[in-house]
Amino acid sequence: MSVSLLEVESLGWNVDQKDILRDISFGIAEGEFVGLIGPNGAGKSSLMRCLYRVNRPTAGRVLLKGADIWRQSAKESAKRTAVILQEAGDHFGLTVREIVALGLTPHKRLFERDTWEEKVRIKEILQQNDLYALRYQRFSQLSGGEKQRVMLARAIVQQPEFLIMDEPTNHLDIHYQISVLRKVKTLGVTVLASFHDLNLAAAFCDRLLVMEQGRLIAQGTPQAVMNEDLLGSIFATCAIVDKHPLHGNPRISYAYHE
Amino acid sequence: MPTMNSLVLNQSLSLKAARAPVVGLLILLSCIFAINFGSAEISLQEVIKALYASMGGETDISLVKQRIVWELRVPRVLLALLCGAGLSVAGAVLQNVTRNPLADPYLFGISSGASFGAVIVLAAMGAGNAMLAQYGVTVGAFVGSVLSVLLVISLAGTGVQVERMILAGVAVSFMFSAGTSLVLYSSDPQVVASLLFWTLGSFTAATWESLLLPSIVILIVMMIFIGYSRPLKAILAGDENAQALGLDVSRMRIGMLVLCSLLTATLVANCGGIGFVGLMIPHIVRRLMWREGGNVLIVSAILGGVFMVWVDVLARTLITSNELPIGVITAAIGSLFFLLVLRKRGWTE
Repeated sequence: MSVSLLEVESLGWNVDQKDILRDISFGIAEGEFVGLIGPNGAGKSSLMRCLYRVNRPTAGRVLLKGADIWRQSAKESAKRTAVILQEAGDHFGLTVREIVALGLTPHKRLFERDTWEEKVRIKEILQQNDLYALRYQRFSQLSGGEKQRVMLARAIVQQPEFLIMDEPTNHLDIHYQISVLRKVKTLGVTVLASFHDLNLAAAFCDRLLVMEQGRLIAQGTPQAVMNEDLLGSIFATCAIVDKHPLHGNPRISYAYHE
Repeated sequence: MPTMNSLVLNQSLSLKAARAPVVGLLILLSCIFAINFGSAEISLQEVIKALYASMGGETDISLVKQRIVWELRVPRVLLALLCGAGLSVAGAVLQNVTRNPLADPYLFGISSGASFGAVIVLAAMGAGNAMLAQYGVTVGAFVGSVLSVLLVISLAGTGVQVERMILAGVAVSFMFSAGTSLVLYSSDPQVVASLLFWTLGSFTAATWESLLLPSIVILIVMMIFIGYSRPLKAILAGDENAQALGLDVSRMRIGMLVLCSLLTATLVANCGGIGFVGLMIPHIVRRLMWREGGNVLIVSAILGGVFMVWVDVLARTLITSNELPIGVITAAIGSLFFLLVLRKRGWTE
């Protein structure tokens, strides 16, 4: 295993004396694509919020490249970690280009303006993500797929080493589900993404983390983790798991009818 | 490498550069025309002569006319310019940090807090020393607005939630308005007349000395806002997104609120309560320049300043015998404007 980029050490988080996350430890190696799966309410989003400095852990540490992210400024941490949220918000009338350019925010001091190179780079990123024709559209007028591309383009402008995605394929049609994940894979950045679609998670992730009731209960390659027992015990679903004919990772066929 | 992309960008930049002189000319012409209007008949030519004379030039303008222009009208127009610019910028910033299109200095009780403070000081001092009253009222307005902001922040909950902040602002605003009304009701008629000044707004008290404090405050606060343009835009993406972009959202929200209250308090102390400008101008600006990607704050300041100069002209000329309060005109124009705009499709997006 190569160098560890992210190291989470016995992390815990509670709200009003109630434990939401308990004793979570895992590492993510540089360049890895890691999926976070688990039923609704397992604490996936809460855990991710601890990694991008919204939820302050009540126990344990989060180390990015050996440095505790809660001992550095929000800005310092945002230079390395970009986030694509599930709910993008309406952005109060900002245009596509303005939102994509916001990716520069953590890299800029007060009064500092966009440089020439940055403007050209933003334009190229807009073009590469099929957003150039939409650059003056207001965010609220875009479709779900377009919004997701805008958020991805913003994350690319941010030039992170670590990318966190909360349900990146939510609300997307199958074409965009696949194209967003393919695109992220080509970026070569370390990724932690939560998934509800277990087939997508198994197909794209190098490793999976499985959560249940605020705990990390399993981690490993899709082959090691994804099996009929797990689906039965954690997701309370009956399914057959076999080898996908195209990519060889586990394929889940759900038993929809009794 | 000079790609096609960089060439296209170059073109749009030179277009932007050409706008600055045009805008400068608009402000200058507005001010000169505004100086021209007033109860004493002074022609445009005489205005220019008087200005030239005041700069130390030799002209045949009478001393009386020169003094009217230089000591009464010029400070008045400049105060209107400052007031319009300051209120518009405060409105634009508050709209950003709360992500609420209705936010303006009034919504958070800043204006009513400042009015209340000013009115208390005026009522307590009566029609005493004018010089002392000027400073007392400024201090009173400032204390009142800081009090209202502290109340709003303390009620806004942990993490300074936007919704609670707005509700708290509305409540605080009504509370101080009630206080102002109470003071007005229990004061003697002579004091009431001068107290009404604070609730309706006017630029008649403008002198060169009274311009100093507002100019300094506006310049400093404006500079800070412009420095924070990027974070102020990022906060529009939502609290969690802004946090992920490296902003300390609650601290920034409180800081901006305090700066806006400083700005508003200084203006209310000098011009009284003038509503609707902080709400209307940023709206128009966002509407006009959403494709340009320029700085909403700077354009709001310019447009707001010019707008206020012309509102003051209306106040002086609409009825011949008397002056209308500024706040009455801005509220009338503002509400009509919103009614018209709401009829058009797409505004609420």
